[in-house]
Amino acid sequence: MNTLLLEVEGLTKEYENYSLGPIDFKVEAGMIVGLVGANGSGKSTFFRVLMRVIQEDKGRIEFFGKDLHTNETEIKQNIGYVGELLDVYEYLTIEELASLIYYWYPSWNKDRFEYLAKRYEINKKEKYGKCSKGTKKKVEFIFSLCPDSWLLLLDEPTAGVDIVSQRKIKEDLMKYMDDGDKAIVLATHNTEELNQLCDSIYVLRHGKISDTLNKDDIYENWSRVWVSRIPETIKNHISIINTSLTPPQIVTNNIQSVEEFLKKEEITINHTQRLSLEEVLEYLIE
Amino acid sequence: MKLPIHISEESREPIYHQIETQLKTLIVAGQLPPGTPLPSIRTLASELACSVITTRRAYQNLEASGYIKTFQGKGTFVKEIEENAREETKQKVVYNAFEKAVEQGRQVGCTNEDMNRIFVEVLMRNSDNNGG
Amino acid sequence: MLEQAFWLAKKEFKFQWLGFTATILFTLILGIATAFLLDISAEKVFINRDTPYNRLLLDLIFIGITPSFAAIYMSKPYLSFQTIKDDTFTKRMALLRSLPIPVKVLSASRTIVMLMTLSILSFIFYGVIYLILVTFPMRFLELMSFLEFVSFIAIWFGYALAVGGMIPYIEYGTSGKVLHLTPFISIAIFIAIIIIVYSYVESGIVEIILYFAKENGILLAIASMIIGISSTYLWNRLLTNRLAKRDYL
Repeated sequence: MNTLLLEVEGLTKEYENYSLGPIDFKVEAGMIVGLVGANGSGKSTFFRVLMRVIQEDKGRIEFFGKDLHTNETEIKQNIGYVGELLDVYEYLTIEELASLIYYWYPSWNKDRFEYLAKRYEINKKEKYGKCSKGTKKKVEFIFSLCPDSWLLLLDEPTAGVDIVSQRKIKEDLMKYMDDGDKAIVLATHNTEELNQLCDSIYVLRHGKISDTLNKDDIYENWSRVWVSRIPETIKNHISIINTSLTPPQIVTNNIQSVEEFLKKEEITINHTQRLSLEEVLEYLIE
Repeated sequence: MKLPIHISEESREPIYHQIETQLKTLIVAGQLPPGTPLPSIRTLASELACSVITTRRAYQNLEASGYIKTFQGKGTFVKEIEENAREETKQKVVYNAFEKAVEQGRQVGCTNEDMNRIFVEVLMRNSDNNGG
Repeated sequence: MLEQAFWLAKKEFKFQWLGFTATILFTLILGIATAFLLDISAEKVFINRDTPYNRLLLDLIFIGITPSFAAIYMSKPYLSFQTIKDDTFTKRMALLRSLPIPVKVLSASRTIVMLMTLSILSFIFYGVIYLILVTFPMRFLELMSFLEFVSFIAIWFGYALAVGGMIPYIEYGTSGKVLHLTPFISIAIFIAIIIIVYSYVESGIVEIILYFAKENGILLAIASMIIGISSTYLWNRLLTNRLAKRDYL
């Protein structure tokens, strides 16, 4: 279960007033990896570098154990990508778009396309430009599922999508993962998706991976602790994320070490509660 | 196939352990009879908002101790467990629950007598309600 | 690889049929106007009949417009200044780059589209000119044999290849800004060249080419075609490199 489907090392991209990286990023088979970050933190740029729509300055990108630059076409045949690139072909119908795309994927499954188009209630004769934002997202999502891929790179696949379709997308992603040897990278602002789908989470901040979280570590290490008092010395403790006074409480990402510290300081812990993923992410993303 | 498993907000017990204990309880209590299909690790992880690493670990432990069995491509099912193992687990589950209760009692400052009294009271009321 | 490139080129024509039809119509009209100018020009060169006509316009048509037959120039990205902001061609290529298509196939398909567009539009343009020259009572075909006329066309076609071969590169290798600036810069350069030529020689450029097409036609035609084809090849190589290395968004 330790096959790496994607390995990124030291990836950088400089712009005049913005820079991405250096980014190290790994995706193991069987995992759904969440990518979160504020708007403009570099999620889409990162995906676009992976798809070679944007060129990196430095760094190594390997998919399925092969270098991206020397095996580009073969690698892309095994990736499903959602990245909002279809808008420029707004004058084409969804059917015409499909006819432009399917040709390049040897494993494109036409029956699956028909099935999914029906499942998501897509009118194939409609011009892409005439579709609503949510429908466009659904169309892109369907396209990304049609080839038999090993990896999905999904840049906010459910943004603007209705609730029923969101559930269907979630179901389809879980079904995609059934084999256990595939993986998904999911950039999203939707905490429900992070909670229900992702196994680990990368936090992107100002173009850098600021945190890598295993979801269960959050459960085991992050806590809100209500205490009898908050001493000045606690400000120096590295595992303190936040403190507030009414009533005195501490948020920590390492409950064990904080407990020891409090014991030494002879401070009573009144109550301890784990943090939800939403709370943790708010602290990390700011 | 939704399971009545709940991850505690307060408990410091690792999630995989909580899943393991609760599944064991359900199996031993007969709520999940032998042959019952269990959700996939991905589905369970989704429902409990944890990672598949955790659910896989819980399933692996349960499989190793003989409660469940995974068939490649078919899924995971509850296994037939032996009577004495069932009895043993029952004891353990109840023992753990009491242990927790006593711990909480101590935290709020109950004496042994207090707890004893409460225990008998709860026992009585419970058997009254269940008519037994 | 070529099969894939042709497939993609075919798609492009299918998706662009409206713009392509408009371009063909415009080329037809241009051909009709050019035929009359060309006849006067030939009469001036070969029988010294000096009918006043706008030789600057004729020169500009051949120097400036025949290379643009390499583009579907009546399509939306060319007509709308929105392209400057939207970078339509670049974004189209961004989608294609995200698909599993080898860069060589992409650049080959662009060159194929360019060659086919140039060939079709040139055929229509010169075809219309020939039809007019045959249909109306004009002297042109008495003054030039069919082979000389074909040489004349080949010389200009080679030139159009050499200059127009750059168009796929400008469309897909640069930004929408450059795309819209290029025609203006080119016209400025062409006018500068024409003015320089006019100040040294008494005749227009088309007139000169007409003269040489009669004198040394086949040789010049071959030379021009060789230059055109090699520069198309060169532009294709440059485009391939550029497509592999550029940022699309």
